[in-house]
Amino acid sequence: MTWLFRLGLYVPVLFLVMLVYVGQHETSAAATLPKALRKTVKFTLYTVLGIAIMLTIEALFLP
Amino acid sequence: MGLSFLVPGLPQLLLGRTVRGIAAFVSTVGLFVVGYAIVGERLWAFELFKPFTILKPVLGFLPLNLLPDVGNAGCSIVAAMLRPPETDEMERLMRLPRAFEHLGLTLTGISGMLGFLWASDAFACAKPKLARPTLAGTAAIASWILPGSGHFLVGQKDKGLLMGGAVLAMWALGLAFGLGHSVDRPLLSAWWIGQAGFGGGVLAASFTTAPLVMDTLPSHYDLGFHLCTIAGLMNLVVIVDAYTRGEAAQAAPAEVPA
Repeated sequence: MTWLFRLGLYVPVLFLVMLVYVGQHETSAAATLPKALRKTVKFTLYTVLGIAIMLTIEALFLP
Repeated sequence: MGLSFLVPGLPQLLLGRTVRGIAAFVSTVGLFVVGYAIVGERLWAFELFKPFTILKPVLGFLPLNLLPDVGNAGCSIVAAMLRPPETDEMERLMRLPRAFEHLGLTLTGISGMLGFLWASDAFACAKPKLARPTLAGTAAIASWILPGSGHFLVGQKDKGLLMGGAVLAMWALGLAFGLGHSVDRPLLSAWWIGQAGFGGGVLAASFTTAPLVMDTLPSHYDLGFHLCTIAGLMNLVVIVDAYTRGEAAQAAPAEVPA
């Protein structure tokens, strides 16, 4: 349950970080928002993939 | 710029910006002196690491392991000279909490951050033939105090609102998860280095939430101080962006002809 809660919190926190990260390369909020959203989705997918790989390794190699 | 680290405000004075120079000197040296008067030798309990033998002569003179205070290098060097010899009694005294230490430690820390910011201001002011040479430095300092406000000064209001809002939201989340105890230099000194990226936040916390007594450990305490540290680091990005946009705005609209 705890890790589900943390994963749920991770997405909005990642979005806030992406707002600042993307903001550096843009000149307006209108241009920043959609790109930050796209990057949040992309990095969330990478994270889920990473967790899935770790869980698979754990299931295969750790008793 | 190097001169600014040693004597904050002197480069601005040499460039003919008297008021700015005095403001830089008072805000860095003044805050450090007040902070050091409160905490004294306890300041040395917050070195990032104890210097090992080979580094001792260097760090004994310029305490690079005392972050972010060392941004005010001149005052840090003087404080290192005043440091009493390392004895068991001194080690014990260093670990004893002091009255108002949250405020004192915050003041010495933010004087270091201001040392970095005034040095970057001196660098921007020294560029010749610009219409508004103080804009970049002012934008950086404004962003450090209130995230996003520097972007207002350089004309990117909506972006300032968005980036500043993101930093403030992250900071508020961190404080909420830590039940107000996420920003506390005596307790979380290494994390506080990152949190000092948001000057207004750490100063406000040192007056309000940091001195509160922690009866029980908040259940999401680790999440709280991590998020506040991320907010501080995010604000460093906002500061650099405001400074860069300020530099561009300094030169672009009305460059003074040679």
